[in-house]
Amino acid sequence: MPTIALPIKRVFSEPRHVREEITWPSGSSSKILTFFKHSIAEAGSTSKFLQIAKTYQELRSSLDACATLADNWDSYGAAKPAKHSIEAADRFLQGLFAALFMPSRVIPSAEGGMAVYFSSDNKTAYMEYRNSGEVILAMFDDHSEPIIVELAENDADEYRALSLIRSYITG
Amino acid sequence: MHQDGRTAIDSFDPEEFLYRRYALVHFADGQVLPQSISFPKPSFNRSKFSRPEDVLHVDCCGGKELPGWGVLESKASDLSVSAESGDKRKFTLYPKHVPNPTCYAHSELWCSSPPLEDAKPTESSKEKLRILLSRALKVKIPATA
Repeated sequence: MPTIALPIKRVFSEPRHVREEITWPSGSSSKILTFFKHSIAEAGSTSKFLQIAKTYQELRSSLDACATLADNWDSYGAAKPAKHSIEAADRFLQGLFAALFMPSRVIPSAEGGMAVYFSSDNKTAYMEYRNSGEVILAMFDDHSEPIIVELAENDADEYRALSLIRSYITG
Repeated sequence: MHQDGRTAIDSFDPEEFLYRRYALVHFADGQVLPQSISFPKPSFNRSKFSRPEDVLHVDCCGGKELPGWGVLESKASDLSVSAESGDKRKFTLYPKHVPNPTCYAHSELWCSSPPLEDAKPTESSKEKLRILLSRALKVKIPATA
């Protein structure tokens, strides 16, 4: 069991300049340092995972809320998100969670359907699952021509979308 | 605000504003999201015959009260955006005055693609147009709900 020596209490009769010296541990102290480095790294990654899990739960809640919308929810005649649009967005979210790559929001679309949003700095990407069965991937920033990809609701296209979005957002 | 027998006025000054209402769910990072816009013919109110807040009036919302909703605005010329499809067809939006009995200022953005004055854009073009419109729209009255 490693032990840690308490620091020696220094008492000065009057204020004076003291040069701080850092002595890096050696031998068994080095093992202690390694132990703490690993512990800190592990805590950091656990915390990141918990944060992702929390985001996932929040997005699932948003999805549940969208499932309760009525027709004309946007006051311009939008259809409520269809059950299969909600389910498709849910499946995509599950895939994103497994890949530890979380979107920023899930919102209803006035086109009828659900959109899963990603944003980073000035880059935005979204997957929109339409009630009509169409799946649209859009990637854009403030200035350049938007990139639009028409996809299908299947695992291969969702994997492709995830890869494209990750590359665009983090690239 | 009501039509009261008035007919549509076809011309739009490029500097004329168009207004559209929005909810907070469609706003992020200082910008309205494309998901707030639907095709065909998204609706607006024109400033020649209305004030920004009129777009939230029950007479222009099909009788709905929308507390906390906000208003977006853009010049008519800035909403006349274009997108090209994969087969090189160009789709361009233009404003058209389409009065409602209870909302005379009601207008729509129509889509032209020569020789058609009322064209249906491809899915990719439509998505580009939604993004371009969302870029052009600015907050006039901020939403709180």
